[in-house]
Amino acid sequence: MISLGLVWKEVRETRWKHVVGFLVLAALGVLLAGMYRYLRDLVGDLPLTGELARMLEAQLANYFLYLWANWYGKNLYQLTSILAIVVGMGLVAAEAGNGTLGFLLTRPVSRAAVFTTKYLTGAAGLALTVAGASVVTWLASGAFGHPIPAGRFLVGIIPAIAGTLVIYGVAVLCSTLSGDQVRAGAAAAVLAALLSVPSWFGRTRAFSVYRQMQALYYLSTGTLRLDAVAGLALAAAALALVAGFIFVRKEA
Amino acid sequence: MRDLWFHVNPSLGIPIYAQLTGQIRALVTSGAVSPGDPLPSVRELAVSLAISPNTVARAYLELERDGWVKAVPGKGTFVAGGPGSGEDQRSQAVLEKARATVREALAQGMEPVKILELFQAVLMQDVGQQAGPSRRRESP
Amino acid sequence: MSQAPSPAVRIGGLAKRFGEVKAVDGVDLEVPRGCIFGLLGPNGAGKTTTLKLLLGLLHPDAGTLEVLGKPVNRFTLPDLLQRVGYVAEGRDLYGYMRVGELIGFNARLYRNWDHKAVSRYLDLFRLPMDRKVEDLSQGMKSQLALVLALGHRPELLVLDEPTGGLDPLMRREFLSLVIEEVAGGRTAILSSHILHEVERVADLVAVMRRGRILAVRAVEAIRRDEKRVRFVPQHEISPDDLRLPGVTGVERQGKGFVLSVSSDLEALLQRLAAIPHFVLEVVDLNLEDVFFDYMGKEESTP
Repeated sequence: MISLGLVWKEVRETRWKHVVGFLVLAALGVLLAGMYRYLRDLVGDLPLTGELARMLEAQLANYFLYLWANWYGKNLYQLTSILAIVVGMGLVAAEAGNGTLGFLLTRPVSRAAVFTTKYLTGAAGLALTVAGASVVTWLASGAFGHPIPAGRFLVGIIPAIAGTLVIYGVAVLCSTLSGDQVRAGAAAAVLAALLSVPSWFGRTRAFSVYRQMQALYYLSTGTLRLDAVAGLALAAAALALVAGFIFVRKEA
Repeated sequence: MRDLWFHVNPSLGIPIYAQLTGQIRALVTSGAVSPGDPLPSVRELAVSLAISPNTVARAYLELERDGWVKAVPGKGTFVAGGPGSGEDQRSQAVLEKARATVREALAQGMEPVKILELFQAVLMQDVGQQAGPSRRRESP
Repeated sequence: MSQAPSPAVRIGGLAKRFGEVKAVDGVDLEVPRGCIFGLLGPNGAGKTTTLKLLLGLLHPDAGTLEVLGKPVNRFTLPDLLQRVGYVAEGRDLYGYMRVGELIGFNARLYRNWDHKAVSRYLDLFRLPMDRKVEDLSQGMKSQLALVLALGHRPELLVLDEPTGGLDPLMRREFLSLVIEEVAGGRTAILSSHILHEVERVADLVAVMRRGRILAVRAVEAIRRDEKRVRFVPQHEISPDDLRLPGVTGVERQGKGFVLSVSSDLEALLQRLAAIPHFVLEVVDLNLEDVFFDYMGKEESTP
């Protein structure tokens, strides 16, 4: 269901988005690892009191906690969500907008294969970016003198990728429905923002994509909630399927 | 034959194939081309005039039917003698039969002069009866 | 035209609307194999929509579509597209690719990519392999689009307004490739809003207007058969007396008549000669006159 001939083109079209995304994330990861010592000393020297001080101290008391909270718990999911929208919004709408969709769809490749190839190339790029940047962060931790077990840290990649694919799915769906990638991106951004609504309330918090991407429970329990990961994966798959069905029937 | 000799005007109320057949007939009758000269292939002529190959093929087919050109499979299309040339083949057939008759007569020891007399007698008799048109004969 | 078991294209009762606009409104059409087929009509007549329906880019509201003997649907399309070449109206090529890259990208998608023929075409058009497609002139883009459409030696070539943006020399070169393909037994459909673009090369022409096919005619037969006869009788006669077989129109001009004739000219002339007259003459029509006639007929029946 994948057209190898198309993979080259898709990679050619999206490679810079992924490369830039990876470089920014990797740089952030390195920065997080390198900053730990300074932050800890800084906070120790500051005359802070109250809630803020306790929170900062708790975070900085343990490198693993610090890194997880700032990597999976903050920077990674925020940036990959943006990256997922940027990659997803162009997937179909960019070609509809610049008129190449007609050319693409008159190549001897089934609509389903065109979509699958497009979707999977983008998804693979995002997954590699998330995984690669996390590995760089882990390596940087060791290099800055904070060795942590690889498996214990890198397991966070799984919910992060699953959640990224949900946001990506939303963007792809918008891209399939729209003929203009800027509008598709704007719509996806609005929807992605709405996805954070459940995290505002205690009862619905479990249904927040971003909450599940951060996998903060892992810090307290030490086990990954597979049901949460499966939920994210299912949502991502459902979005991809709907987008695929629309694409197969799309007119160009 | 050079393609430059042909030109067509697609806007005229005259079919392009008819324009082509007219030009080729004119070339043959004016002596600008001689029997045996090759014509451009359908593909060449169609491309050089920017017309449909089917139109050229139709022109050639009509010219061949009327004996102006001759298609040799695998080799191309060649100028033939003109409408008379359709008869070349018929006279060729008669010649073969005459040759067979002459050979038979010679084999029986008949004098060549006697054979000629017999042919003349038969001919005079038949032509006299039918008063048919005398037909132009060409050596192939 | 070589006779083949199934026509290159067979369209029946095709309809497609965009909102309130009936872009294609009950089109029946058959394109025999081995011919050059002109699809002629003003802008907005539904030509592009018809061709896009043919290629599966649009989905019909009603009707049947058959290409090279196969119904057009999303299961047959990938295979059909291996056998069909398409040059779209807008030359929608990937601008960011270099010419060589775009060629290579295409080559990988087709089973029978003819590298030799493609490099011959590229030489003929003098297309620079390392130039970005977006930096090519409009004419070069058209040429590149044609090379891409021919690379897999398609049995059917669908060209939507193919020679727009080409100078006369480029247009000749462009058409010569199409003609070569047809000489090899392939079929080509050319759409155009200008008669002049197709009258020279087309075997058959379909005239389209407001989503309908008004007529499909063999161009050579139009040149041969479509005539006008000027007739001035000696005595007053009714125009109805002149509606004889083969006469498609009678127009009074002063004391005389101009008859539009589409067949049986000889028989008509004999009958007219029997009527006492001052003038009886045949005027050759050029194609433009004939097509204006078709368009005019449509105009009077809204």
